[in-house]
Amino acid sequence: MKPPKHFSHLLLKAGFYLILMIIFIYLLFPFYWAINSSLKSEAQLQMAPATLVPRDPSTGDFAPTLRNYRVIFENQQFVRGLINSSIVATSTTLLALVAGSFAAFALGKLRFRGKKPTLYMILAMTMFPQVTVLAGLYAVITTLKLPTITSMILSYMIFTLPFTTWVLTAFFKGLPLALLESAQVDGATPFQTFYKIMLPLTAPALVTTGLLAFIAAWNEYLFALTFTSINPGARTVPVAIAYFTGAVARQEPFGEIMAAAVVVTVPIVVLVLIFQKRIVAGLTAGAVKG
Amino acid sequence: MAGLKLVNVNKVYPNGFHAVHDMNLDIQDNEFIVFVGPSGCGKSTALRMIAGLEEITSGEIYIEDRLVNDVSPKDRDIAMVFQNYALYPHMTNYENMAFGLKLRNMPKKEIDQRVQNAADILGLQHLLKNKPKELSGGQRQRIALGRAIVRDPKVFLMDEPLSNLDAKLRVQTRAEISKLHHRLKTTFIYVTHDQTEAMTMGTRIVVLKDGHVMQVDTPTNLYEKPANKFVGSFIGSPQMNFIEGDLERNDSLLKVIYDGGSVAVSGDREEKLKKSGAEGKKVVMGIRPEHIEVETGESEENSTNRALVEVTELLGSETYLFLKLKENTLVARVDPSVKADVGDWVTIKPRVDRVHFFDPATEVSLLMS
Repeated sequence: MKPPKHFSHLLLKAGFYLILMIIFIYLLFPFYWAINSSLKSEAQLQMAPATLVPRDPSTGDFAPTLRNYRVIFENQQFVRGLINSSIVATSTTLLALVAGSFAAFALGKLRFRGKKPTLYMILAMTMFPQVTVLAGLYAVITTLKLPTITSMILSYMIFTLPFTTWVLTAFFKGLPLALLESAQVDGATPFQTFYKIMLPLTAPALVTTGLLAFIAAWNEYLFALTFTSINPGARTVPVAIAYFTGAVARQEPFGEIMAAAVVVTVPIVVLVLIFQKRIVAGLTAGAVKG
Repeated sequence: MAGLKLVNVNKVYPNGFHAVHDMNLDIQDNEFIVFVGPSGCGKSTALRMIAGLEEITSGEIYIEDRLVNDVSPKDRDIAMVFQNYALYPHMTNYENMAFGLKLRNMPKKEIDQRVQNAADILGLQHLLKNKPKELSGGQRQRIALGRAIVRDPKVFLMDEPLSNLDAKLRVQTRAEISKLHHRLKTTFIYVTHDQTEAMTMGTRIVVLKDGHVMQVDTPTNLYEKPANKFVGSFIGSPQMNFIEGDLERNDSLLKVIYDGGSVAVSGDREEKLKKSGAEGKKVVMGIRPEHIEVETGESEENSTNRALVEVTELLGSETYLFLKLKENTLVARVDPSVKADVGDWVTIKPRVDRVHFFDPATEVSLLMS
């Protein structure tokens, strides 16, 4: 190989990694800062300039503290919030996946009148900003006297269900029709075709959409804040964090909030790591091989 | 194992496309029926209507004397092999073959027996534990065949099962399917656009064009007695040559006068032409390449039946000559011993006892009456 070519090749590679590094830092710095802050005491947080790692104010030694984590786990509201959030996000995800995959199977593979209008109506549901439906939803929930947790699960369907339905519809459409017909001739009922043939083949898409639905439900704040206003016991974790109070009036317990944020992120990171392989398959497999 | 009957079956799609027109068909038990025709002729639609995958617009379909118009595919006792195999990718080959039986709640032991038996027939024993994606195209198609065999259906339906295979494998699998038919003694319905597959496999062939049945007959009869110009041109390779001519009686001799030549018609064909009332009218002659005799050597200018050799194709076992008459071009299939070079003038002699005559307007054979 000629030296100039080699050199430009090297330069390109260096440039690539440089850009990669910038994006990497840009994306991860906030998370890093949350961890950093969560390990600092109140005094360390007040230090100016802020330090990149927790340092002792007087000696400057590396001095992290787990006090914030201890405090939040002693906070009943926070622990309760974690439990509530788990219930809400898991139920939302499962419901969205079940209903979404049923709908997607019909929309993607069956023939019936009014398919297109249905699809667009589902899409239209996502077009309204959450704030616009909030008041109406609240009225509906109080009129029907729905339990707060249930009302959150149901209202989260507004944004999770259209999403899962659309993504899964595209996925079902990609499955060859002959597979469906083959199952039909083999003697499968439509439902058997759905769960014995179609569902196993859409597993990657189910995992991906399920995870995204879970994240959306887990992090949702506006609906949760509104619906739990009269029932603090049902607060989900983002709301619980917002209600953190300091030891004295008007004090913002920044370290604790950061510790809580880190704790809240952990389940999602764990889920992503568990399903990592499947997510990649789901994101890349636009067309499924017959 | 059953006969099958189609009575006035029509298929009109919602967009108005009339895919199948008044199809009538009486299929006997054990037959190997081939639906053949160019793409868009309705052959696949017809098969899918028999399978129950496509609703019929009007008409009746009977399987073993049972009206199945409103019977769902799974209750028709049919098995189907698809063009792209349609194997379930997440199941092993064994599970693929067993799937239909499991759905019918067959005891595990019997399922196993049937799958093993089918695997034996098709030579698939060593592949049962694999998944379809690990197999070659030919092997996948055999799994698909196996999935149909284990079901022991009344009717086997096959929708262009060989068109995804390469040429060599196609010939091999063609023979295997024929063998399978002999072995299973079941009714087969096979769809293809390839006339060679149709001719080599079918006991009877249904030729379709634009949703109309053009002819239903044995391969020999399709070749010997095409009912119309379309069947004449579709069956046989290279294609039948068509030349317009005038049918005239001259001194008690019935003659066809055509592009720079004439030929006398006698015997059986003369009788039939007389009966059809085509005398003194225009006809279209259909001459198969193998029914043109070519004489080399000097021929006088302006002598009749003279043709110029434009192209020669040597295939080893035979030679194709592309011959130019005054206006028409003909293809003749001759023995390699006939030495004709491009630019030579030769004399052609259509074997008049094998020539077909069609009505120029209706394109129907004049020899059928």
